[in-house]
Amino acid sequence: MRRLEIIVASKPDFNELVDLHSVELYAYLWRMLADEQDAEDCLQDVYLRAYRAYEKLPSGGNYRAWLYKIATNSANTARKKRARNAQLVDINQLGTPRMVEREAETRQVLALLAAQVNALPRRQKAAIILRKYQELTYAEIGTALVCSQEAARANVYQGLKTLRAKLSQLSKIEVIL
Amino acid sequence: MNDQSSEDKDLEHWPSNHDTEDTVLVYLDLLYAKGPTAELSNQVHENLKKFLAQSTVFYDLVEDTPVGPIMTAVDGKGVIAVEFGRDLRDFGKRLSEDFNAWALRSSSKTAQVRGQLLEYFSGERTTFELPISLGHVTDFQREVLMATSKVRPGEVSTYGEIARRIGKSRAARAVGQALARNPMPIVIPCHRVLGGDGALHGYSGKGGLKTKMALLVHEGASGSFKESL
Repeated sequence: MRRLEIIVASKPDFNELVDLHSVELYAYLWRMLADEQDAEDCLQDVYLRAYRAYEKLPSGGNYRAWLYKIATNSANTARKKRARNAQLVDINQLGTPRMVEREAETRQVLALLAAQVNALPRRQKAAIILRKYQELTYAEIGTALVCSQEAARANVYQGLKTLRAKLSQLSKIEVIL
Repeated sequence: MNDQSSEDKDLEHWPSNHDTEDTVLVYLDLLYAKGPTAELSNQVHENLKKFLAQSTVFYDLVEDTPVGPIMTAVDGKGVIAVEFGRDLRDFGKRLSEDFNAWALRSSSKTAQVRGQLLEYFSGERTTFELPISLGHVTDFQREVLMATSKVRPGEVSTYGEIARRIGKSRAARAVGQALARNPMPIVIPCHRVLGGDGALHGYSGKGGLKTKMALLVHEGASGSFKESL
């Protein structure tokens, strides 16, 4: 009984979730959307959605993974909205802002790769970013993407496999040219 | 199967010494490893805090009044809602949705409206001196509600009269509809507005006409409305 009480009492104040996770969630949305403003709008949406659901959320869960789940859904909605607003997406808009610091050649490859990353099934793209850059465990990615741990893992390597294939195609073309 | 497990191993370790074969990982790092700058992250965090503070409404219950329990809600600017009833969970949920905001229970933030309601019912107060926040109503509804606020305690008006006061003399029916959706009954005294024939006509609050009449009697209003019940 005592143990149960401790778990119940451990549900953090919602504001703590803001202080603990908003920076990493912003980085995640920034990576997913490659746009500062879209990512910020999305982050605000994430916390409003999270707040509404928080009361009914059982205590003692993995709040971080749960927030990533909401962020993934919110990013997906934002992406769809953006796709509606702009039917033709400029390939140069898909990269990240720091690409301009690179040499022209590297920039070109990065823009092409960014386009390929964006062309991946959205779960594969999310899984790669979550695993490698947000440093979530596969179990957490499973929560975030609403799939099993195994499927989370499969999404990462399927995505990487596709990217490797695309990149080697690209370099073959370059050699021919 | 073997192929898969060797890939898994790669993934767990995310090779730090990239060989030339796996340039994908090198390029992915160039694209994604550096996240947003610390400066941008801090700014976004501060903006989020401000956004959430602005998007917060507070609510609480006034347990014992002569017309039953009443729920109140305020935002940063003033009173946003008064409702008959005691289902705070439902009230909070609706506030959160209607105002696209966090709804938090707070007795301190709602103390002013609570205090004035209790004074009103005990007879110490006849008019409310409260900031009200009508950000979420239409212009027409706002005009109707403001005109209704000017009906003094102990007096009554009619839907037609309110319509005339806002310069839309033919809009009596629309006035009735606007008052039926009064977001803060009692504080904005829609109970003082009657049908053209002096009939109580309707009251959206819990207890309906009974509550409307109780409020009018409490305020000492006189007239034909009593017989019309």
